[in-house]
Amino acid sequence: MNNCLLEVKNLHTSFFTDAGEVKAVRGISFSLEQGKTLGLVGESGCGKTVTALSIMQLLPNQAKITPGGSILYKGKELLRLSQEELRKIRGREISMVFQEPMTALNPVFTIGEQIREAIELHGNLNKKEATNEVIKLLKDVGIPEPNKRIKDYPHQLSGGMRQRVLIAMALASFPSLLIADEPTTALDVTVQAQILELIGALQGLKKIAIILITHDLGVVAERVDFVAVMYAGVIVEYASTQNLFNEPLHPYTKALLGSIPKLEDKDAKLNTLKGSVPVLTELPAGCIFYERCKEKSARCKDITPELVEVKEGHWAACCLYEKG
Amino acid sequence: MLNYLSKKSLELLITFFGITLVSFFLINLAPGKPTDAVSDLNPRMTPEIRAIYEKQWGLDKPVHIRYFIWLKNFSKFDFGRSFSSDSRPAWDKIKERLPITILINSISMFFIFLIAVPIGIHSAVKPNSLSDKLTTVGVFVGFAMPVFWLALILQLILGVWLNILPVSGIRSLNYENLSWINKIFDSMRHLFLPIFITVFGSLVGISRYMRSTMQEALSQEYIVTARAKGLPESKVVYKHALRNAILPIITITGLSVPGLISGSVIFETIFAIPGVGQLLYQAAMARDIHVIMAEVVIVSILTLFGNLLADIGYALADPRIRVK
Repeated sequence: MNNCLLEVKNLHTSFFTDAGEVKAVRGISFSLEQGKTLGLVGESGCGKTVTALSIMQLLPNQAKITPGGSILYKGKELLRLSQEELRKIRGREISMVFQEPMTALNPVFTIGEQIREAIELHGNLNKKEATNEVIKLLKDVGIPEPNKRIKDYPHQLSGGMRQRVLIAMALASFPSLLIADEPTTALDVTVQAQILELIGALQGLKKIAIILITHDLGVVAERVDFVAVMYAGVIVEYASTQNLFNEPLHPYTKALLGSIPKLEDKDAKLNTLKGSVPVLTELPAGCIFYERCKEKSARCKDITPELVEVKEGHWAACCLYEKG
Repeated sequence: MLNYLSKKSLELLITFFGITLVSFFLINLAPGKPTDAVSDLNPRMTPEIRAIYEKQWGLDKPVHIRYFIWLKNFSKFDFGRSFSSDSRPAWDKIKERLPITILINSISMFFIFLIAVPIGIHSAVKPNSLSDKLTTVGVFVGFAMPVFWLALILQLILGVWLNILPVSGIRSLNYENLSWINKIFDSMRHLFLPIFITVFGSLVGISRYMRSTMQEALSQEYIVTARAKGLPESKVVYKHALRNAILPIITITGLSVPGLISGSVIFETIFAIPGVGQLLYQAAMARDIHVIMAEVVIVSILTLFGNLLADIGYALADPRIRVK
């Protein structure tokens, strides 16, 4: 565990709304080693983004992390840092790429200015050196004619280009951990592949650890070392990518894998996962996946399954694997 | 940009002639004639003399003909003579009164922004805090209080009871004998109340508007991006959010010109300030058509010019408008 870069333990995050407390993340734990990649997979609203924002502590005002949990980064407890100390972690140690490249860039500043800001914040470069650094970064993320593009405003770039700009910005101060929150969801399929390739290439180049958040299992299949499957605010299965795809344990993971259309079998009916995610203000007792589960039994209604190690390095939270 | 400006100018020119047309007909629809002041209370006035008198001023012709005569004279920059006993050219009367009105309104505008913008920003950054609530109540009190009433009360308290400020006018009787520094001080004392009244009554609009645009800007995703970069909160607020939030305020500035001028009519009358507002009031009371029309021309030009400046300012500040 000495190699551990990030260790999240028993993280709970709730939104306090007029409708009551919405428990978006309900006790998740995972760890990530230096230079490794983790895929955080699940449906919309399962708490993936809230997990990422909790690590960055950039949650909206009405959201609170419940005391008792822990986020250790390089052995440092992030939840106990002051705003000023956190600010030094953000960007420099942990940075983030967002889902919507259209709105994540400030429309009234040039992209060069927005990247340079990040560089100047953490290094001791003068303006000219910083500008050269921006050009180098833009070249790294595959933007043609970077010395011209730095004078462009976000609205002058395509979605894919803007996402590259955001990635360049996130990498500006050589972080050890990059959290990519659905970096390709808003993009065209062809551009998606390019961006994912870029992230993969940059990871190899800069030796950073990555948490790749996505709702698309296909995206993580070839690109991450480990996968955590989330459902309604908890991790229901955690394994190395290979194990997860070869031998999914949790009925939810099986259903997700089953719903990926297969090209070779053209006549097959597309498998779907019926029902929807439970409302987080009124969670049922027992297993949260009970309503939609194909393998449910009577006792699932009463028992809330814990995440247990079913095989070595392969964890699942399901009554099928509960001991005793 | 040049194309944009010429199109805009053409629009403004059409609007301007629309204003003169509507104003001219409205004034002439009102009961009474400019010559009434001379003729009505004169016991020796006969209908024949009255007709000669009206013919002399060209009032015997139908309204639409008179409008075209007015337009013809206007093209030569001749606004006609005042109907009042001095019979001076209307333009001369306005020209000498314009500087004081523009001075008071410019200073007021400056203070409105100096006070309202920080109030709005502060309220948006700390919504529902005690200081937000206090300033909100304060600006709404200013908004709800009738300007003329507040002006009279302050004249009574500060001018009569405490005797620390002059009640009216713009200069003391001994102004000519004062040293230059005392002249400035004397003017400041006279202008304090009119400016205070104008500023106090107008704070609410700009500060509330600033609060909402700032809140809107702070809830945008690029703000999360800026924080994720590790930018200090001051830069997030005063650079990234403010630059976006100030854009609509530029428009409001241009649109607030007519409000200020109509305010001048009230406070110049109350404080006996020899500006165009007071002249407009006197001219309206005396049905002095030529002076009223000359005022209409000046006020519309100022208003339209304000709009044009706002458009140009917006285009300069927002890169998305600039390229169109």
